[in-house]
Amino acid sequence: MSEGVRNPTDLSDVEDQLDDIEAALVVIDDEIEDVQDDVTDILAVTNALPTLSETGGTLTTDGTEQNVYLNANPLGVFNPICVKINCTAHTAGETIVIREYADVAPGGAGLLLVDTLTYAGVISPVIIIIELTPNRYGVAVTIEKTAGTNRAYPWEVFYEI
Amino acid sequence: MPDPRIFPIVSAENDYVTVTAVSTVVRPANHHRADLELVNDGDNVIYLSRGDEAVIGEGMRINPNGGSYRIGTNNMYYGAINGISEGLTNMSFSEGSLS
Repeated sequence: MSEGVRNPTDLSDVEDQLDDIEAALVVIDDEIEDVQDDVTDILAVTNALPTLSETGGTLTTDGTEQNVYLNANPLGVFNPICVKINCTAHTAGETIVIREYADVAPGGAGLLLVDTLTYAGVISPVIIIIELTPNRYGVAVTIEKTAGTNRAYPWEVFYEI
Repeated sequence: MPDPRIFPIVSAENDYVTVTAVSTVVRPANHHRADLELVNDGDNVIYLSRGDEAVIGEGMRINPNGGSYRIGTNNMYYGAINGISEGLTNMSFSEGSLS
C-alpha cells in the first residue's frame, strides 16, 4: 500500500446524477407508453376510415331498362358517391332515361325509385353525373334507351366502403 | 504497511475525528507511531497540515468521500496532524503504535 495522499475519484455526485437520470428515464418511459397508447388509438381510427373505391365498364343499351350500377345487398353501411356516364356516342334523335333507386329498409319493399332524368337529343356536356347518398340496404342506377339507336355508354362509379 | 519484522505494530487505535472550519487536531504527536491511515469520510474537502495549524487551501488536500493520507515507513512523521474543512466532516483513522 503506497504512502502519502490518495484522492480517488469521488463518484458520489455522479451516482446521485445517475439516480436522477434513472428516475427521469422512468418518467420518459411512462410518457412513451402514453404516446404509444395514443398511436394505437389513432391507428384504430384510421383503420376504420372508409376507402374510396372505383369500378366501371361499358354498357350497350338494348331498349330495356338496364342496370348501370347495382349494389342490391351491401354488407353494411357504405357511401356511394356518384355514377358518371359518358354520352359521347349519344346523338340527336335519341333519348335515354336514367333512374336512381334505393332500398331503405331490410327485407322490405326492395329498391324504390328515387329520381328519374330524361335526356333527349345531343347531351352536352357529354358526361352525366348522378350523385348518390349514403346507403345501407341497396342502391341502383339504371339506363333505358327509349328512342333512337342503341349505343355504348362507358360508366364508372365511386364509393367509400 | 511497515514491515512487521522491522516495525511490529503492537497496538492500534481506530476512531474518527470531526474536522471543522477551525484547525482541528486530527492526531496528536505520537513517537510510537508505526503507521497511520486517515480517510476523509465526509462530503467536504479536508486540508491536512503536519505540525502547523491547518489552513483552507494549504497543505495536503484530501478529497471527500474516500480521499486519504497514509503514513508508513517511507514517510514516517511523528508530529501532530491538523485538519480543517469548510464544513463539518468526519475523518476516520487507524493509527498503529510500536507499544
